[in-house]
Amino acid sequence: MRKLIALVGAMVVAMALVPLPAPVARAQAAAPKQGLVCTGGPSFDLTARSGYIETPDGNSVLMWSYAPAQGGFQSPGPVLCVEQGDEVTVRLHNDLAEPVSIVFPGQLAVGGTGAPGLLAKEAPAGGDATYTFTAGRPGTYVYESGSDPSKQVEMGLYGALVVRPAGHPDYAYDAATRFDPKREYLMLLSDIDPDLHHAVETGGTYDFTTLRNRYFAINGRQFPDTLQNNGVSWLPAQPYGALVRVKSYDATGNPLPALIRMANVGALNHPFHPHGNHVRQIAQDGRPLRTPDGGDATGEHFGRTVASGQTQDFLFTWKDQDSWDSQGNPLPASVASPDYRNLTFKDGDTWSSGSAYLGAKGTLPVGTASQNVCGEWYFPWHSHALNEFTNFDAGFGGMATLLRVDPPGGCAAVAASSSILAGTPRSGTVAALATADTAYYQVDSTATGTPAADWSGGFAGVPTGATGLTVTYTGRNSAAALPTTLWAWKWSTGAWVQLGAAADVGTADATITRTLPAPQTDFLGTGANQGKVRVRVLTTGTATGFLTQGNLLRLTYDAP
Amino acid sequence: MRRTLVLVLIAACLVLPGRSAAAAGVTIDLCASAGTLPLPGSVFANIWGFSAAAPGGSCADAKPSLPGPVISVDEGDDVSLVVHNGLTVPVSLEVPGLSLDQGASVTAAPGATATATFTASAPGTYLYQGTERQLPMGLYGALIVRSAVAGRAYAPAATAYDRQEVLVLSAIDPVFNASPATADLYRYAPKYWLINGKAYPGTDPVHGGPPGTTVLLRYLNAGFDNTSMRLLGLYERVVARDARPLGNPFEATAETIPAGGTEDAVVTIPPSGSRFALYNRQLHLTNGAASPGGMLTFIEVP
Repeated sequence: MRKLIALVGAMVVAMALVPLPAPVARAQAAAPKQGLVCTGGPSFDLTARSGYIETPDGNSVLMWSYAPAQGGFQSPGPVLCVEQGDEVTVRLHNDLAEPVSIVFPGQLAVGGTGAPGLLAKEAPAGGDATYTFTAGRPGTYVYESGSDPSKQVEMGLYGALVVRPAGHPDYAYDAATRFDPKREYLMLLSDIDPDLHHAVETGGTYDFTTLRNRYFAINGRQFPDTLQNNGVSWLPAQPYGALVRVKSYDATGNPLPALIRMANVGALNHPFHPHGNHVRQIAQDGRPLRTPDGGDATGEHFGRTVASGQTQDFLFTWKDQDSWDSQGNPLPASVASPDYRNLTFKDGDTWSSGSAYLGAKGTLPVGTASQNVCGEWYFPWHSHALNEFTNFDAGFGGMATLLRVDPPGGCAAVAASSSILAGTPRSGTVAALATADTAYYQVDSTATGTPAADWSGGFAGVPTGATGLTVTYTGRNSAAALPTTLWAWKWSTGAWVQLGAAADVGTADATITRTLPAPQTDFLGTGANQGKVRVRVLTTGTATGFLTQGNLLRLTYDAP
Repeated sequence: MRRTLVLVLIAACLVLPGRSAAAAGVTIDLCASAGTLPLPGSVFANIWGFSAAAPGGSCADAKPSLPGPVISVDEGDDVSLVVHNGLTVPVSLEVPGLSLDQGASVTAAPGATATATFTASAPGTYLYQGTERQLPMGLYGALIVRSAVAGRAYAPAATAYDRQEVLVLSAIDPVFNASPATADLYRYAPKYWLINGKAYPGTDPVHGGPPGTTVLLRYLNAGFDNTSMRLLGLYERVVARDARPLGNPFEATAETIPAGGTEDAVVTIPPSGSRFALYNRQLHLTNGAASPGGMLTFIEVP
């Protein structure tokens, strides 16, 4: 799955994500697909050991890391999450051949056991050390080696520590920094000189003054691997993705900002830069930004240097300025439609320059399903030291990820197949149900008994974990006010379930919208029917035969 | 009125908190000379450095110091800095942030003197320095303008302190220093990273005090890199940058001092702990390939 993809153009990059394989089960089974993956405490068992990471250009690099004692090697170390006031214990076992240790910058009065070391108690080769402290004020911190740091931190002995306010997992610091817990992200920046790592691997001379970094990572991965979900199977030693996802601000439906915790464990200061947006810095080094009298000293930025060893926290609210709507306003006039000559199609992915806006679907090459999942926007976030926007000097890569803005109405799918349960087809194909236009999918009702037009549309490719599944039907009949019901196929029982009451549909186009009942997962196929949703339209109510004309059958949902 | 200010060598670490004093004329004689700097591993790097002239302004016995002596004057003083150039190349002197009557800098020809005059118009931490290739050779030092407000680095209360330490950050590339006139700056690659001219384990400790003591750290970055300094076990409160107090001081454990910049931060010694590491987070913690070393010291509580 590693690809080196040439991107056309320079400033604006957007990408289509193909449906991804399900993440492998990890020790932290509840890990979200995207966003911060917490390892809970307050006691932690870590093992310093070596392993290999893979880079997008096909290289593999020896790393050292603090791996979970019960898990496999991973880089970076686990994100340690504790509450303010927790009595934290970190037990370190050392599987490396030289003494290692951990320092906890920003934590006060760290105690513990181990051999005396330069900056902290050390675990000798094959031995152990313990660190204890009372979790200090809330914030984003790092932990890293305090032994021969020029070598051991470069080799990867680092990770993030998150201290949450007691009882308030949705506060970064205080009520003013409340965020949406579903949208909490970490970007741990690091840099790697593979020649130095090779020197360690082969027992060569390690001279830090020759440092020249070639790989630049977020959460241990380089772009485009940064976009992949947490825990994907093909990056077994790099469990943390870095895709940031938000939805448009809505005062009632989506009022809270996302929280982006940034930490730099690299040896360089990294100028990090979100395209197209400002982000509000609320803290650095785990301390909120305040005026001398306790007022607000936060500030908005689109380019902040995250210094070596530093942490910075940002709140981010995205507001739709263009009133985007997947049907009514798919592409604002001010935004040029992507020109296919500017696109690169490779392995089912679509890469574009020329427009940040890829909200509309259109003709695509054979085998390419869509430009993106469902009309979302992508904004690059990356190091603006552009040599760091590379993998071994080949761009784009390295210290970069994307901000994904999911459409406010959710993803929209159209029926890909149809089936007539009662009645006979007159004309039109399922394609006529894609948009509300002059093309209709037409079904003659049964002619005997109580006439009925009963048919269904099938949706495919709905991702596992989709929520907010809602059906919209627009159609008309040859007779006035015919009661029409919508149904959904409940895979768990193998039966249709009626969605709400009947609505009258007459000779002019009328629209019925129904949300699938909970638990919606019952209506999303699994196994051989993975990703399938079936919706049925049943029209009756008159003694004489009639014609049903379906104009639109659409499923909307929030992608996982 | 002309008097010779007492020059306090960094090694003595005895720059006193500012005294309120009437504005005065102050003349300081500096010698620029060549010599060597001992570095870990029995390395001796060629350096140029400033040093304090003997009483009467004589530079006959001058030995270069890296960094140069800490110069302390009072806010409002009319200051004359006289450079006696004992080198075979011209030496410049500039003090970014203070307006010299002579313009951006003064230059002393080999064997000659040049005088820079200015009014110490605002308190703070300033870098005095040569220019271009003189800088990596070691021609730099700290100039402290003491605030008229006793016990404070600047007017705001947030800049109050009990003790202060000057921390001049710099680096040495012995290859460059061996042939400063001809070395290719493109290949400038420091091997030694210094605090007040010394690399760990030779660095001087930062003297703390009993719990509650406030220590003003005056950082000056005379090197080529923006330098991020890590503190372990406590926070520093950054109160000024480039000799200007901050409207919104903030707390940090990893703070970057830009090349050529200065910064003032106040550390409060916590209730427990006796030794707090202060080091270059960009991992310049080696002397050449040897570890540990480099830009590392400790705040020590007696």
